[in-house]
Amino acid sequence: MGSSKLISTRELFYIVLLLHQGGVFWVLPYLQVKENGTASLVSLLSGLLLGALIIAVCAFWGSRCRETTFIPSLTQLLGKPLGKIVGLLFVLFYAAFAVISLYTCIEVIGGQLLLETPRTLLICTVFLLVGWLSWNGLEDMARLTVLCVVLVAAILLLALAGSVELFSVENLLPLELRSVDDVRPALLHSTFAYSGLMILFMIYPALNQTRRAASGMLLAMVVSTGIFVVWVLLALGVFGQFSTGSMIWLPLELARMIRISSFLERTEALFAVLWLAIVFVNSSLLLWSVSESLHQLLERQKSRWLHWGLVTLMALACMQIKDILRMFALEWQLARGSVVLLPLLLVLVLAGSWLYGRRKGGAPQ
Amino acid sequence: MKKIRLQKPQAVAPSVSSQPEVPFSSDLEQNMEWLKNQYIRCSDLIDRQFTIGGSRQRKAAVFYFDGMTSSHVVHDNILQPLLLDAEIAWEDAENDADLKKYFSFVKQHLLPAGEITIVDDLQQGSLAMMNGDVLLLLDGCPQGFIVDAKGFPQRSVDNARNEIVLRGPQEAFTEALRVNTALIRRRLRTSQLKFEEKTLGRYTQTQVAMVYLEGVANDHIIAEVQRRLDNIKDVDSILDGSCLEQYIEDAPFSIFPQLQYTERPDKVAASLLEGRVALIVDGSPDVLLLPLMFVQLLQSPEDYYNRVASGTFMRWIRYMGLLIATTFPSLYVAVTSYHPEMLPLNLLLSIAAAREGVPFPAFVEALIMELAFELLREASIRLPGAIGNTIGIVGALVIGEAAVSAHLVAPQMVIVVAITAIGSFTVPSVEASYPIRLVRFPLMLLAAAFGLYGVMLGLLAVMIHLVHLRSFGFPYLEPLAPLKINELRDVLIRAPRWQMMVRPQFREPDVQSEQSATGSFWRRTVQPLKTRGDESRGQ
Repeated sequence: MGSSKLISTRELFYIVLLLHQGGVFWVLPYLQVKENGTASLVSLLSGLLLGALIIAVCAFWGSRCRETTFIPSLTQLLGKPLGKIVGLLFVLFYAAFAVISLYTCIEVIGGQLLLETPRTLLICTVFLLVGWLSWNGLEDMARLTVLCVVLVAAILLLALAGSVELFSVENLLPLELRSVDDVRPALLHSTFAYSGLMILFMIYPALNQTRRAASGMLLAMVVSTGIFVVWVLLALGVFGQFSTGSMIWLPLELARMIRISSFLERTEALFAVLWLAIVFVNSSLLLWSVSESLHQLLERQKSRWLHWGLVTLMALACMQIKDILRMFALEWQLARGSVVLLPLLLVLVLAGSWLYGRRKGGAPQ
Repeated sequence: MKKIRLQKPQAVAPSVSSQPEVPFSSDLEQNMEWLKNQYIRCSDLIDRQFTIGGSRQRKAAVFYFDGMTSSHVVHDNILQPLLLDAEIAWEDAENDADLKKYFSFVKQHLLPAGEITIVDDLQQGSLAMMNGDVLLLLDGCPQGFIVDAKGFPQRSVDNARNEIVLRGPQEAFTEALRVNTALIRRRLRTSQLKFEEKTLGRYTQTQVAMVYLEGVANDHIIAEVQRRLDNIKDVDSILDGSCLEQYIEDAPFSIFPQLQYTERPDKVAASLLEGRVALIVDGSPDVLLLPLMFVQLLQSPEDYYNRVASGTFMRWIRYMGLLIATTFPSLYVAVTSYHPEMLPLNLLLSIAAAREGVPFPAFVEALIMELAFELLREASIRLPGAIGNTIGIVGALVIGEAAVSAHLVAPQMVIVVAITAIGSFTVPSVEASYPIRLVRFPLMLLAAAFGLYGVMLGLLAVMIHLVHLRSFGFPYLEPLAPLKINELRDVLIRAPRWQMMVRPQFREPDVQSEQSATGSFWRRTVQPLKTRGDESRGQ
């Protein structure tokens, strides 16, 4: 599980893309339109600011503390007690994000495709594979992202091609900004969607070269946001504002409308399982981050027991979420917490990196 | 219940090559006695004692195995000169009493054989005899003469049986190592072509040749192959390339091959030019190529002999064949069992009507048909040629028709299995067809349990395994994952040769280009060799 220099800048691009796409793909368009109507595009784009901030801090930290991985460097930057506490907060955040991401996927599969299959069985199968992939390490996940990006493109093309005849520009109107009270939750959801990028702090030390890494990550984020914008536009154009705000699984509903000639009448099952691959890689990255940072926090060598114990624990946590409403409640709590916590963590890392650089003579490495 | 305790393996006799040296004695009788004791009850050993002509009347003996040597060479190049011509030749050197000069004279003037090696160790002489050479012993000489007289029966060079192409060279390797090295040397006429030989196997004493192009092959790979071959110690036998493969591959329990087999010299030559390493095992008609990338299993030499468009088209047909062979039955099971809404209504009604009266679920139907097909395939391989073909065709027709008539399976399932079979036949390498067949069954089971979700789970598991797999340190899915865009022109398409100027990742980084920049293609852009950026490769 060591972070030797294994990841290329191109692979980092794909990782960022999938991190953003995989985590909140199913629910973000719904949450945005529900809270903010046609103005959801604005709140969606505003999340970019947090994403850009995360990337900037990550790159700054990377330029100062290249010699150690993230969690150990926190104790160097902030001192041992504070460093450990901040590290633990990061671990908890990664874990919660991973559980939410996987539960959403299981909810789609169990609630829409396999109605009679026990959720416990679905959770076990998902966590087994995710645990296996994350155990294999970051290099394997980075390679898998390359293959998954093809799926992202294929699904998007499928949706675009299938819904073009159903699309109506009139459904996009009227363009209106709602009250500040309505915009605030949309902003919270949007920023939460970008907070998955926090695991870049774990991935960054594994880069085999940092040149153009920051610009690559930014580009990936912009592309990913663009994809979300396309989804929201498609959903609004096809269903209209009112219907869109009442459909939880918007991409799935959109896929239901798609018909590939007279060969495939309904494609949502295909669509959902293709997206499953993307969620898998995303969740594996998150799980790897939890496991890796926990190993580093406890100063342990790679331990099979610790990793699989953690996987079991997270699977059990996933089983505790009984339905989608509770998942939304959890997501909402995390979103509120993260809006306060994440900037604070970022500022701490930023300040620590700056001070550390000054102590070392200001020479970035 | 009584526990059976596994016994520790018994110590066995060390191999000939690892036994302590036995120096030749100056006494011919002693040497002969040692050899006869070694090969007691070996009726194929020929020992011929005689006296060399000339005034010295020195005693000598030859040892060889009947059937392993050419009797023509033994008679004409060893016995006749020593028995008859020695008298004439020796007259010139009659006054020289120096024994060393005498033995040198024998070697220089009396043995008109192609290759003569002088050895000090009887073990080495003994080993040479088993390789088909003749061991000549002279009285008073504390050395032995190994005379090249190999003449064991061997198959002549024939057409390729498994890797058939319509265009391009047709000849294939044989079981004789030397013939195989010659077939390669004929194509690569350069001093940079190296054959490093090694003997493996306690009882088989199999010659294994590592072949590479010096300055083209990556030194890391050569060193790694040497290291892995050196680690093969105290094994009883290496009977075939597949035996060797199991000792040196990265993941022995993987269902995917990590070394490539080929029976085609042109394919070996092309691979060596890419910087790969070949292993030739004496007694095996297949040559092993390494490292192996998954996409290479789907490439045929014919792709490069055909026109660009045809080559690319055939390659995509093969990709489609791979996809069908792996997933078609499981997709059918998943869609008909869990997601019938995906199908057009007419097709769905047709399937439902055909399945009426079939007592089994789609999964059991598919399992019956797939197992029947596997049985037929196995039976047709084991039976002699004509009967095997007949069994294959008749079996498929009769069983398929009978199963449909008996309402054991729906007609659609017969079509699905038939298309799957055809898809699997498009894969050009035999070793790739096994993992495809092995993956198909678990996928069907997952499809029956979880529908399309199960198929995706299975495929993800396969992908997780494949991205983790390495062949001699190189990622198995390269150039797809990790992505090497420059090399995709030999994967997604079959680009013209003049566009494939960037060396594959196996190449030695300091070699500048594959061919010289001069040529008839005005459009050609010779690109410098791209060194591999990823530091993890080749470790």
